[in-house]
Amino acid sequence: MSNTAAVGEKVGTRGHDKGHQEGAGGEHKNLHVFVNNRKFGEEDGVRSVMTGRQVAALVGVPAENAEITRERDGKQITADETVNLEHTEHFQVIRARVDGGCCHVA
Amino acid sequence: MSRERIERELAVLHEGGLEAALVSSSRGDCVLYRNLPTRGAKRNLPSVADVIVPVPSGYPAAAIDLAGLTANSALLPHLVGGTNSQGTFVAEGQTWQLASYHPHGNGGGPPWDPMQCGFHTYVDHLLAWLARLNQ
Repeated sequence: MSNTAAVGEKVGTRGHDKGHQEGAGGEHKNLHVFVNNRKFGEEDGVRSVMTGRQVAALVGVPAENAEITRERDGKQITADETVNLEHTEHFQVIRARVDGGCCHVA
Repeated sequence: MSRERIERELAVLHEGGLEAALVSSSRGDCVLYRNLPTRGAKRNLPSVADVIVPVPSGYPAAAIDLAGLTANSALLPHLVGGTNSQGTFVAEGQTWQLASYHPHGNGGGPPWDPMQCGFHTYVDHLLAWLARLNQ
């Protein structure tokens, strides 16, 4: 179940490596990452190589309106750029457009 | 208000390393998000902030709205809606001021969908809010 959807019974522990296994080729089974502090796994579409657009889509932000940052090195990822995902690493995806009740920042 | 639902939503964030808790306040229940990152450091403003969000009456049918910082926060004048106070109240021994920020009401976010949205997704809007500082 996606974390974008309403939260049901899927509430895990804080341990990021719960259920983690490593395959013979060094690839992670049950690969998961965190976007805006929410956990996403292969069932949500996480793959070992993803584009910025796909990462942004995990939290429902269109890539054209997203700023995507890999937190481990602060790298900004463009929509069509591909990145190799490390197990349990964190990304931040923020909207480019933020409007308040009295002003707007583009 | 569905307390159990909110607790589940906050547990999702906790798993991702973010501290957020349901707290009582002088205006009712709120969710307090701790140590959210801002982009204020380059302007000698705080690089992290605690943000409080009221639990709307009728949640989850009613949309989450607004966001507040401590009333003396140097960040408030630099945040969209920050100079348009939506009220002050007391929680956790501090006075908080709500900004005119409405992510699900033409504030830049998607329309409110109680099946998709919650306090675990509202953090997306808080991160964007704290990143987009005015002059």
